[in-house]
Amino acid sequence: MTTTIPPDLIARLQKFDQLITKIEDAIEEIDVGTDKHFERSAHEMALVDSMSMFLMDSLLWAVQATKGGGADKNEDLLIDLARTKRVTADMKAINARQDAPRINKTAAANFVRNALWEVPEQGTSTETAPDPPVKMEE
Amino acid sequence: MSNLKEEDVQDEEMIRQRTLNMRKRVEEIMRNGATLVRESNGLPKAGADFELYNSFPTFNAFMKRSEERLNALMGKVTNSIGCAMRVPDVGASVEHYTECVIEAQDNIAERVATLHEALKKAEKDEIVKVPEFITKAGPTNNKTEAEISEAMKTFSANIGTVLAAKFRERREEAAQMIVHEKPQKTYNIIADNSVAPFVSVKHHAIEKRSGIVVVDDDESGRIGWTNAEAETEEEHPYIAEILNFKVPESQLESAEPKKFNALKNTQLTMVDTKEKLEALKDTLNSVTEFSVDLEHHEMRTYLGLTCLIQISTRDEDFIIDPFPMWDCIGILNEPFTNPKILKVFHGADNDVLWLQRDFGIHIVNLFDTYVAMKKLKYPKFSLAYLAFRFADVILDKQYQLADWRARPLRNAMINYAREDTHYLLYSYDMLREQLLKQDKKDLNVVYSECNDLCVRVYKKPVFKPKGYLTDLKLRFTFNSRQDHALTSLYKWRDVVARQEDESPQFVLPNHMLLALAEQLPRDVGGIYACCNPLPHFVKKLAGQILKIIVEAREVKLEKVKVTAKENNDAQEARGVMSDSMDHITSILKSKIDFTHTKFDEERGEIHIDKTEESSDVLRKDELQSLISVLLSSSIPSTEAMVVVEKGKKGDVKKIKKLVDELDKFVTPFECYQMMMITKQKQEEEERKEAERKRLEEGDKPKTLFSHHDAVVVRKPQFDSKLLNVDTVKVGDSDDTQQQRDSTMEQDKEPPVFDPSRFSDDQLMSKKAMKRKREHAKRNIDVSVVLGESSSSDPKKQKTDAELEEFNYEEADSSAFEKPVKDNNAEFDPFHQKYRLKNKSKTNKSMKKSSNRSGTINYKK
Repeated sequence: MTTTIPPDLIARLQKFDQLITKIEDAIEEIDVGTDKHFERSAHEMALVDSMSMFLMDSLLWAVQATKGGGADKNEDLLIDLARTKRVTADMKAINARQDAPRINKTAAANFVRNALWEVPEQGTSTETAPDPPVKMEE
Repeated sequence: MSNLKEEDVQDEEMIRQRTLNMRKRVEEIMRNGATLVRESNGLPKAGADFELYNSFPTFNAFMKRSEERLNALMGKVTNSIGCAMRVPDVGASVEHYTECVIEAQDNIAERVATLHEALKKAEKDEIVKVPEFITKAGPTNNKTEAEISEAMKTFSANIGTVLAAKFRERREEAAQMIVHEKPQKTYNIIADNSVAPFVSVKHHAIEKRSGIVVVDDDESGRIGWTNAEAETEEEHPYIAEILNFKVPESQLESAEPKKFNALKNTQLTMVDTKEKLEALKDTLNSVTEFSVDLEHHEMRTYLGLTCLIQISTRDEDFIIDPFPMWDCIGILNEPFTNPKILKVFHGADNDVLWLQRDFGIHIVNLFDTYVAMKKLKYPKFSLAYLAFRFADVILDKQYQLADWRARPLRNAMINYAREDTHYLLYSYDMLREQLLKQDKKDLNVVYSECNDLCVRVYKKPVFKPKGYLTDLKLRFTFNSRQDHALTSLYKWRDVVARQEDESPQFVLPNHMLLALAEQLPRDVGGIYACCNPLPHFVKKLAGQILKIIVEAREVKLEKVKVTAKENNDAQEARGVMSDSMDHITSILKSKIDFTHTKFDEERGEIHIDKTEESSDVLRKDELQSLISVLLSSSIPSTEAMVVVEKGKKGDVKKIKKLVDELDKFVTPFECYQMMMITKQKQEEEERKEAERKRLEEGDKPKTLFSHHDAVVVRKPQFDSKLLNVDTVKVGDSDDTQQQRDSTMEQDKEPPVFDPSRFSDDQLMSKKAMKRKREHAKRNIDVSVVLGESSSSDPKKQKTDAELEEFNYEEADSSAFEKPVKDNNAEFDPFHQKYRLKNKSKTNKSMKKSSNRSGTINYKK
């Protein structure tokens, strides 16, 4: 029987410790108090809330690890994880909407106008109507 | 396009940037969280190394410390977003942790779902604000101390025992609350349940019209209900006051809300004597505002009975028991109708009418907090919610439906009653401030609406003979007997209710009424069966009910058609378009999607401000649609406009050709339309043809036959290949049948008969077959029977010469010694050998039971 804890386990424990510290600091940063949180825009609030959900699950997992593990058998936790996954996926979709490109109005107008135009034939008739007014909204 | 100023654009940019930063940070944290989970999986597990390492003090301490930190983190995270959770103690079990975490997650998930919904609905570049009810409602999980302690009690103890104790408590309470004698009897409160219209009493009125002397009652409050004949029912006694009512300036100004005193610090006065009532009146006359609430009973009374009046001023609470001094309460009319004193109610619609009916008290200068809450678009409009929001008090609503006639009043009920008004004045202050902040006009609107409430005049409910169409939900249509029974019972119920001063529902509940009308029981027992549990008056007056039903049974049976008008009226009264719905199910069953409108199904209809310019459907910004793009470039019309590139010439001929082609081109829909038209025409024509033909031909081919008709000679059809050369004469019908029996085939000329296809017994008659057999026997070539030689030889011998004598000595007679095996003897299909062997004397016919019936036993 070993009388000391093996070094690799010590390393793992240290890493564990560091991670907790990191999260603590990050939360410290993001935490602005309840009132300020309510003054955030909906997108920010949703971000923080969905992050909190994910964090709660992770913390629970970690707490269970401190008591010997087995979080992967914790059914309630797994069900909750599934729900959190859904929430974070929704969040991602909403984030993606923010990044999506906007329509470039001038380019689109040119495109449509181009599609409606036709190559004129070298013919007898030279009747041409004046150029239609192109209205560009700003 | 939005008209944004420079600063707003900058603000939006800033928010966008902030959001992007937030996203980065959130992603970072989530990554850390995921790494934490990964690392946790690498740690020692229980059942493996964990126990071993846990014996090390350093390891153990480290784990404990980590748990503490994680615990603190959990609490911090949930607190910071406003969803406080029950933080388990350090060292609690995993199950407990899980429970608490899941609880917290549920709350967060709920909020996130709402936010996501709002974000998804929004337009692309819009900065979405957090929906109001999330912020307004505040931290949704912030439970008060009382709630937490209450919940803890339930959770910590064994839930079963706690609930059982509660149940026992309630039962005991209910047992003590039985009213033994009706207060109307005890206190001699006379109710006028007659059909005569209600006459209200006017206590303190300003003179309305000169020339008409208004007889006022004196201050002692002697109300003569028959005295006020001069007043008609329609006129509100104080209509002049109310129409001329102007809200006092003090009530329209903004002022600091005055917080209520704690319940235990406020004096409570029970008012049950005339002197106390007078004192109360003086107190009320001296204040500028007070809040009022009523407790009402409607089961054991026809018109209704006010059981309790609660009044609160800024400093005191009063509870008035009206029973002992019923006729005197009217003196309170003075402060109530004083336009300088504000009365605060919550949900005054009914209270106003009850005060009028029972005490002749009218109200001038009213503020209804319910109306204010609706105007401020609160998520909920209940008094409990109001108290929760402003007083942070959870009102115990278990006594809302209790029987308030019970005397003496129990402390719990008194407490509940006073709480209803205690917080109302402070809530009024807060609501007033909010209304002024929202819009200066809103406060005036609220007051005018409350004014409308004050104008209401109490009217006695009029009995409608067909009233059951609206009151009851009829599941199916009744026939004439049931309808008669229903109408008669409905009337009878009303008469008895008026007589005995009970509510119709108490005399005969609706579902029992329907059951009786449906089943029309023939005897009293049947009536009792329909009415279970048996109401008191059904038992007492069962004879009358029976009489009505017997009458109904004798009515001629026809299906009663509810006239369309009646049906429509009934439906309209319920507010729906069809029979199967009422106002609740019409929303629940509605298939309309409300997600993009401002209508909230859960809260029901919100007061739509028609003065606002807003529309219910959110308009999509033009940026999102390509309409603007299409508008900006014009399409060449068929007439003159030609879109060409600058500098090049347009070719009108070509364009004309194109346009002509386009005109000639038929769209698929047009094709379909034309096809449908042609199909229709075709069908028409066909129909006309058929008609014409039918008219022309006249005689239809005979389709019906009887035995009188001549027999139809049907010639059998055969395949021509099979028919025989020799023709058999086809006789008339009788012979045909016989011939057909004897021979399979009948022939027609010219037949070709192939005998090889059929066997001998199919073709030949019996006699012919016998002849053939004999012939065959005589002419056998080789005999299989012993002793017989071939047929040809004996035949030859016989014909040729005289017969040779047979030498018996030389013949082999050994065959005769051998027993001849009779092959046929072995043939025993019915097991006769066995039967003969086992034949016994038993009466076999008696063995089978089916034989016994009808069998006469001859054995003696």
